[in-house]
Amino acid sequence: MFKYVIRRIIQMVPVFLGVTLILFILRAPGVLPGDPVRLITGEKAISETLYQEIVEKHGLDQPLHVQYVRYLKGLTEGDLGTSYQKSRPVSDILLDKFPNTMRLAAVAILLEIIIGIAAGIISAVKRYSLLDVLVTLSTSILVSVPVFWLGMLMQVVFGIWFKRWGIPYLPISGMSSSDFPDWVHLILPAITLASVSTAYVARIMRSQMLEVMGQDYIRTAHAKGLSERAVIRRHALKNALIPVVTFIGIDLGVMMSGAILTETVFNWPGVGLEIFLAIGTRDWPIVTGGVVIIVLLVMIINLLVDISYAFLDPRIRYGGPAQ
Amino acid sequence: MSKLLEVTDLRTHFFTRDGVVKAVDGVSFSLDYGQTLAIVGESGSGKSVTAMSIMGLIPDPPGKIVEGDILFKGDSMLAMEPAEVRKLRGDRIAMIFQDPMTSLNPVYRVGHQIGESLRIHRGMTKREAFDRAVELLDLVGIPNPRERAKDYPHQFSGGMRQRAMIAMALSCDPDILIADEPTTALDVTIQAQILELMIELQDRTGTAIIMITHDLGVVADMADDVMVMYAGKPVEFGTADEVFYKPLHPYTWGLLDSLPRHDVSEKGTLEPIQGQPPSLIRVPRGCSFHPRCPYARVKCVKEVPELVPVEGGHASGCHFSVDPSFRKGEAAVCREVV
Repeated sequence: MFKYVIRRIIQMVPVFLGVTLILFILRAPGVLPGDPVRLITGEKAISETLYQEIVEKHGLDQPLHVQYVRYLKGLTEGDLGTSYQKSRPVSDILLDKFPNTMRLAAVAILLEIIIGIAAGIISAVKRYSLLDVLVTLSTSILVSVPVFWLGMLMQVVFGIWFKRWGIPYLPISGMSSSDFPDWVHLILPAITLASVSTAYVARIMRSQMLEVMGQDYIRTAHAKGLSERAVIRRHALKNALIPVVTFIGIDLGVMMSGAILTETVFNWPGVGLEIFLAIGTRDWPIVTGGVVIIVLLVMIINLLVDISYAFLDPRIRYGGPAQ
Repeated sequence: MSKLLEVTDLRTHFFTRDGVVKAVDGVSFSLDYGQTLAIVGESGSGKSVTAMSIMGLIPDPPGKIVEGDILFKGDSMLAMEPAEVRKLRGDRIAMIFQDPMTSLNPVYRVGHQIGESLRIHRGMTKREAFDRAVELLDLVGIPNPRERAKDYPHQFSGGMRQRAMIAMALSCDPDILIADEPTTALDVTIQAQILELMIELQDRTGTAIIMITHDLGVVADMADDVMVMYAGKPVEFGTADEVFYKPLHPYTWGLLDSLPRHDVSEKGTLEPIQGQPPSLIRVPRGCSFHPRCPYARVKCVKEVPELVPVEGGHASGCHFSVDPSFRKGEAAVCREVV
């Protein structure tokens, strides 16, 4: 197990280097529009000396590979570069925003796990019932609706119309205001961010439960005299959960891209909104810095998911010869 | 005193989109303490559905027991509350299945799974149940039972898994053990070991066994009584000797002829039964075996035969069994119908 983890961490190095290389090439002059120096100084006219000073300070006159090594060296020291617009270290800017994104993502993941798995189980156990039809129908709709559109729809319904009709309404923008406690601001963005994933989890959980319930060992469990409830809880659930955990693991990465849309729609001051705004102002250090953080996060989560298999499925044992 | 198990005119039908599947259509038999009954027939003859009906494990919908009764020690199991049937299941009536490779839950340790019945029915603690599981594994001939009980099913071979299944079924000392093709999925050498183990354990515990198989060879050594089933109905019932040495029904003759025998090697070829088992949605008119029977006459198409005693308890569901000259090897092939 320990060997396996070490091996996986070593495998992460080339992946990470590949990602940084792609990101670095995107930052190189001529690949993306705009002269970096002009992006730093803005529209103001500047003198030739100042221009040269900026070029030298950022190493823009060096050959590309030297710049890349310099960039990598910076990364190992936690230096993600300096924002063109804000003249602040990117790492400081992202560190400010990161907890906000994490808070939103954590609530969304909780919703995804609790609602998705519960809906899937109920739907499978009460197959062809009204509840099952509702779950199947609503999940089909949710997986085909774009996240930003769902977010805007919810803003209109729960924020604007509810307010107009005099029904208790929900805040639709930002993280705090004088009208609501802070946590209420989380409701709509978290539901929006969780929606597609929850629908997928419910569908996978349903099909997995149905498959597992048809297995011979479920018949064995019934033959032992276990109640239906105990058969589902003790024998079916653990087996059905294995692929669901895989999906949730992969989905955490997808959720990061969902966070960019959700945070933009709800004006939620997280990493996603920061990246979105930075794209608009061509503040490439923030964009690439944000992506580096997300990539690191996804790689670590995937490793944790793979390790968790060993606890869920005894047929998987890492790091030793097959028995 | 009432019989241990009495099944009367059991009819289990499945209501599907294509029509009603009469999987079991009028099965009656009784089982005494310590007795072994073999139910024999081809795939789809209703053997397994009979077993699942007794266990109360027919999936409803689409399945339903539409007629008949199952009496356990005189009490109707069909009239019981589901919770009462559940108390019998795994405790008084236990079952082992055909495929030991898939019948154990892959994510739990073998010892845990064997002990599970003891925990629900006997209220044992985890530790007590595990200790008892180790004893049971020892009883069914698993070496190093204490270590092996901590293994997962994928670490067991096929034969060992079936031994574990037997240990699981016997954990609560059941009155009845239903074995649904327990050796079909195993290697021939392992088959004999498993059968021997079952005979040995029956001697020790006095459990009655219902042995379901399509292989007459398997039941020859074990069974007291044999019921031959065809298309959801019993077609012959008798002691093992009667059915093996004086079979009455042409279908049983066919089954015996298709059995490989090493004592008559000069004959060389096996005689298969022609044709396929019928669809249980559209069972043939009259005797359901008539389309495949080499002796079928006009009467067989027109009238449904009853299972009637011919000699003592030896019963046959063929119109002509009452004729003493209509016997295996003597009856002339005279198919009148096409």
